[in-house]
Amino acid sequence: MTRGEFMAQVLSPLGRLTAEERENVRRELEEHVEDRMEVLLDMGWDEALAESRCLEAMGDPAEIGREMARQYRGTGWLWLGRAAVLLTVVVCIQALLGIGLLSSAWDSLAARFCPSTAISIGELKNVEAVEDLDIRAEVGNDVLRIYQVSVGEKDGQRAAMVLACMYDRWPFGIVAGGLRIRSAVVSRRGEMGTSGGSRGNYGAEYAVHWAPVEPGDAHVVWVYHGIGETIRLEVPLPGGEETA
Amino acid sequence: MRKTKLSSRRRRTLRRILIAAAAVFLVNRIFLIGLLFPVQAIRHNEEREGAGRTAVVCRDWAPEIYKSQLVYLTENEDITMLSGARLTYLGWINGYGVMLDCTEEAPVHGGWLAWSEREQSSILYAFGRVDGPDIARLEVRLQYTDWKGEDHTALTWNSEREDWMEKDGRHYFLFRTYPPFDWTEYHPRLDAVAVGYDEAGLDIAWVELSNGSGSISS
Repeated sequence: MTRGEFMAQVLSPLGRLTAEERENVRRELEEHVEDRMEVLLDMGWDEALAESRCLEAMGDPAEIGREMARQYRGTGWLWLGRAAVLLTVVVCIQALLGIGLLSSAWDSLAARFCPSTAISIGELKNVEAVEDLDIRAEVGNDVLRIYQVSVGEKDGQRAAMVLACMYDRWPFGIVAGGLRIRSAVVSRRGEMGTSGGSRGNYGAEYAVHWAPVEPGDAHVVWVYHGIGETIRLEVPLPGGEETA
Repeated sequence: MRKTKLSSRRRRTLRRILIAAAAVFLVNRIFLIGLLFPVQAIRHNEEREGAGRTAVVCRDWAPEIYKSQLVYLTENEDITMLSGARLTYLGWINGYGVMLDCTEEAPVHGGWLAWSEREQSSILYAFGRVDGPDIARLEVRLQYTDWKGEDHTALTWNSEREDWMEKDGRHYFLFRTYPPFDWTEYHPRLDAVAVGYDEAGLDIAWVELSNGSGSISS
């Protein structure tokens, strides 16, 4: 029996296998034969004789075929596998179509490590001092971060500008919206400030708030109204300790 | 010669399932799309509203807005939320919603929502939570002022305690109807109030409902 005839007999009961599975089985058998032949050829056997002996040693091809067929029963697994491949393809296409949504993921990371100060540009005149801060508080599933305070002049009045951002505790998670409208900044004397710019997406929310300050004020308070909770964060003003 | 390990059908399928699950997880997590179930989109609404985890009270199918549009009434101790989810080529996505802050004591917390598509109002919802233990009947009135400045009651919904849905010991109501006027001709100023009556029929609670009219233009 030639190797081709042997393979044909093994594969004949495997009609229900997919082309890929049949190819895998054929390759597996070929490798078995090649391995055994290698040993015999090393011992100085003739190639045709070595192949013939190896095929004989493999056993009855029809029986091997029936055994293989038993291993490949169950079309449920086959369809499940196909569904998984289809799902993977669909999800990859969705990822390609939604590539623009990565800006949310980027903002989610940026807010943790290097929050943007772009929202405050041009609003503060005669800047006296700018100080980077890192005040963080958990609000529900999110983290509120106050990251910069500046003192200068706004609309002819001395004022502190406070920059804050919010992000989900989990990287790439969705943050609660409306940081600006849920927040306020209050001066040490209880004067309510005004809100400035804001921007946000699912990854991070940014907001600017102002509060009037006077020389000697050591801090202002950022107030955030969440669902069922109010967070108050004391924001130290640059040089506030010295003049307080 | 390198030996190829013969992969069984089951093992190969499990490997494919694992790859699919990883792809779904990554796309869900990083792109926030590719959601397989509508309730996942509602979770996105919860996160965006800062509401915390909620439980589903009831679900409504609103094919008038989109063929796959689902509207969920969800709740927890602090909030009641009406929000939507629909199926798109990006998977299930969250839609517009209204959240009621129920942390302050009130006999009734309520809201209403006009869901419209391309400036044609399709469905009106009124929903909320009844906390007043003496309230036996609830009347929700949708009122509007026409272009002449005259007030009208457009709709009145009535429901009794046994009509309300119960979840975690709290009582919820949800009304749904079509708008009682042609939305395309004019946009009257709408507002809604809920009036609670006790067993004797006395009105013991009056609450103006929060408005969260949503418009879908795509």
